Amino acid sequence: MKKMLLLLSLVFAMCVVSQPVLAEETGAGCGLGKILFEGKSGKSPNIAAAILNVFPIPNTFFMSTAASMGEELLGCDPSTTVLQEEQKRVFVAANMDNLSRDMAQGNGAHLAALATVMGIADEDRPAFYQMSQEEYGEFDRAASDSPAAMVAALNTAMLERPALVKYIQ
Amino acid sequence: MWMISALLPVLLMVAAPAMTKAEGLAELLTEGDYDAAVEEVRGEQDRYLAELIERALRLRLDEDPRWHALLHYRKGWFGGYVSEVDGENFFTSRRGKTDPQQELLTTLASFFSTRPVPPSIHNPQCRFLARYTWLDQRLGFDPERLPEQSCDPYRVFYEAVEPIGLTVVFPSTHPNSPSSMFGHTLVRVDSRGHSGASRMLDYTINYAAEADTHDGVAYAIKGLAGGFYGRFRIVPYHVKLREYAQMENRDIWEYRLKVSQETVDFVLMHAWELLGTQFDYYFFTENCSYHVLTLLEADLYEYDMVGEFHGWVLPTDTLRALARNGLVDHVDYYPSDYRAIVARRERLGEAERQLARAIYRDGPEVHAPRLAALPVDEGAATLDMAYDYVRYRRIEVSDVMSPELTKREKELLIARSRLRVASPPLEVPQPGVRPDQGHDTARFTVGLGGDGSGAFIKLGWRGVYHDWLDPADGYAGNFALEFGRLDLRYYPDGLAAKHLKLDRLHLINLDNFEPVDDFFHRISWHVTTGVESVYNAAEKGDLSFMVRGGPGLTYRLGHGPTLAYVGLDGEFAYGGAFRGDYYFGAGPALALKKNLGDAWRLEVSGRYLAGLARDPRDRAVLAAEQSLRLGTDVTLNVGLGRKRGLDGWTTEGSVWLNVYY
Repeated sequence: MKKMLLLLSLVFAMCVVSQPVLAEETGAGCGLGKILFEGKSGKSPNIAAAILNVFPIPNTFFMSTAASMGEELLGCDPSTTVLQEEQKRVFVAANMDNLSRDMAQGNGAHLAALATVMGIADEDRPAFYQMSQEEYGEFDRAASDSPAAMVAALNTAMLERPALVKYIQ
Repeated sequence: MWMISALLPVLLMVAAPAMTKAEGLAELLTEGDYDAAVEEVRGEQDRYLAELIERALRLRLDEDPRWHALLHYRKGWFGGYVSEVDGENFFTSRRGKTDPQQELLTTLASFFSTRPVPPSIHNPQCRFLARYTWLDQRLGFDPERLPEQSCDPYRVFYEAVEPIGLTVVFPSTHPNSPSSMFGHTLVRVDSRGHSGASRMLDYTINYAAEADTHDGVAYAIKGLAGGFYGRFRIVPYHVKLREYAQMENRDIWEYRLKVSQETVDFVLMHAWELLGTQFDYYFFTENCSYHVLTLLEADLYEYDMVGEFHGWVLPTDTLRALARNGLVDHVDYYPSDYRAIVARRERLGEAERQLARAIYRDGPEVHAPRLAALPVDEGAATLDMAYDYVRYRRIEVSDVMSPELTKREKELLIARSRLRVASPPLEVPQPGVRPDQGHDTARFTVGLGGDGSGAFIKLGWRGVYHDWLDPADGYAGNFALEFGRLDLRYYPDGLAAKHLKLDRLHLINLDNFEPVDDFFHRISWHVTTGVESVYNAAEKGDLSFMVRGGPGLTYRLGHGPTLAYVGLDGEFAYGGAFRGDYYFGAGPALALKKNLGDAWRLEVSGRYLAGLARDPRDRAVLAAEQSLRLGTDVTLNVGLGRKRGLDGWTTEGSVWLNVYY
């Protein structure tokens, strides 16, 4: 849709003109906004919640990314409250293709950013990158399911490695 | 005893008005009628609000540049002030948009209220946090008499983000697309603990128009005339990187600002205030770059960078304003996917390049033997190249994943993951000249020449922005983008009536000529519209209003610095000189553009228009122009031309200086 917008425009906007706010909630009303308004604790949800709480309407910059991916952004399970899980899911959902590439290549900026989100120390990063490449087939299968499945596969793989298990609570 | 019971009604009668007054004020505050609340406490010595108002007026806080910056007041056309903000709820007074003093008083009143400011759920102290913080600094609120309200959402946000710096991000020209040729600017809030790759986790504050129509003409008119609203939004940087560097293939320049923690805090608080309100969006003036400056003004108002702009506001000019005021600490570069592909391609040998293209076309299975024959590192590099091609094409074809291309991507990544080596980071060198260091936007021309009508003085002016013969540094890409170009000739020995000839007045000139190669297939195109003279002779001053343009293809000759363009031009013109008052012609167009070192450019071009409508006369232009850069903002140009106007062929030549300012 973004490409169409560029094609249709006969004027050269100095600023990228964004889409109107599309309140497309995916699935059964499960979107970042909805989960956050259900009062979860933990730092990360509250960051987005803080921003989103300026209006009662969920801000849709997360929505439109997910909608364009055709995938649900977050699972609807309200019991998951782990801070890093939320941040992880948001980043993964918005960067599936970049992460896939970096994992297959065993290196890359998006994979490094994910490592930061997960709090992985510098000395453990080589092991993390290596694991990503080794388990790529598994991750790719999960990624076809959903971002949440990809994160679950990532967690499982890390649990099996002594150097990385400490990053999974 | 009886005295008390006698006095009681008297006491009540005295106390009652005071109590009703208190209830009155409380009610007004609850209702959010702050104008009335200010009225209510007028003259009331013992009210804290009255005391604050009196001190604020005595200190003339309503005239303070900080107050004007936070409320976005500008001098009105007929005196007084008008705020650029167009959302009602940004003001606590009904007259807030045009009355800074009243807005100050009602803002103070609103701090006594807990009523959420619509459409948010936040109380006024929290909603207008920058104003509250500043007024508290200046007036020293007594927490006993003006209780501090909670602003937990902001506090949580602030503590999670841990902002320590601000960066102005400049996604530059989008090659081959008119809708973003001037670039864009946004502000990134730099978090403690983020650096390098993790910078993409930072948040950005972005101002953009929100178009409610996609219809071309309505879109154009509304965008120019303030028909769209513009809003600030907070978006993670990785989302913006995808949008600009990947989907639109724009190089990104990150101007890290040299600012104090206090500035960072104020700017963030002000951004918080601006969320949820709106401005009328004007593409030339009150656009994204302008609002980056108005946002930074929350603490940097003393530099008055906004005041430097009278008329159009271009992103690169706002970057220059920041640099000129010593606000730029350092600049980083984030290459687009397009540039990354070009860099990666250069790293491969010819055999690997060809194998990568073959794999892109056919998939990795078919070419597995050839791949296996390569050393692991080279095999990995080849697969990385093939993957880049596939992904670039997938994004180019559409936003939504195209099934065959996605399938191909998966195949490639699975094959790649089996080669257990890590790809080395791709270093794309930062261009030596930054966008703010390129030639200045406007151009003045003065020179001498001669043609069939005699010797002339050449005078010219161009408003914005860049032409291929202008100094290339700082302007990435093969393009020309001009608004407002005027060329005049003054003939001192002019015949009788006419001394001054308008050679051309172009309103818009757009030209894209990215070269095609075995992977990149962009069609070149150009369009020019304006007024041109149709006769060579000076005394025949007939002008025509014209639109000319057409598609073409550009090739890079060898691997060298020469571009060759071949295309088809068409022109439609309206003017009294033509038979039937109009002209339509079409024909071939050719150009050769050569870089001779860093400082010298040569362009040879020609076009021929065969008259196809009522006026059958052919017209043509053959020109050679060279530009020698004498400095960043000065060039010496020589031009020769052979033209066929309605009055036949003529030859002309001139020498001139271009000065950019």
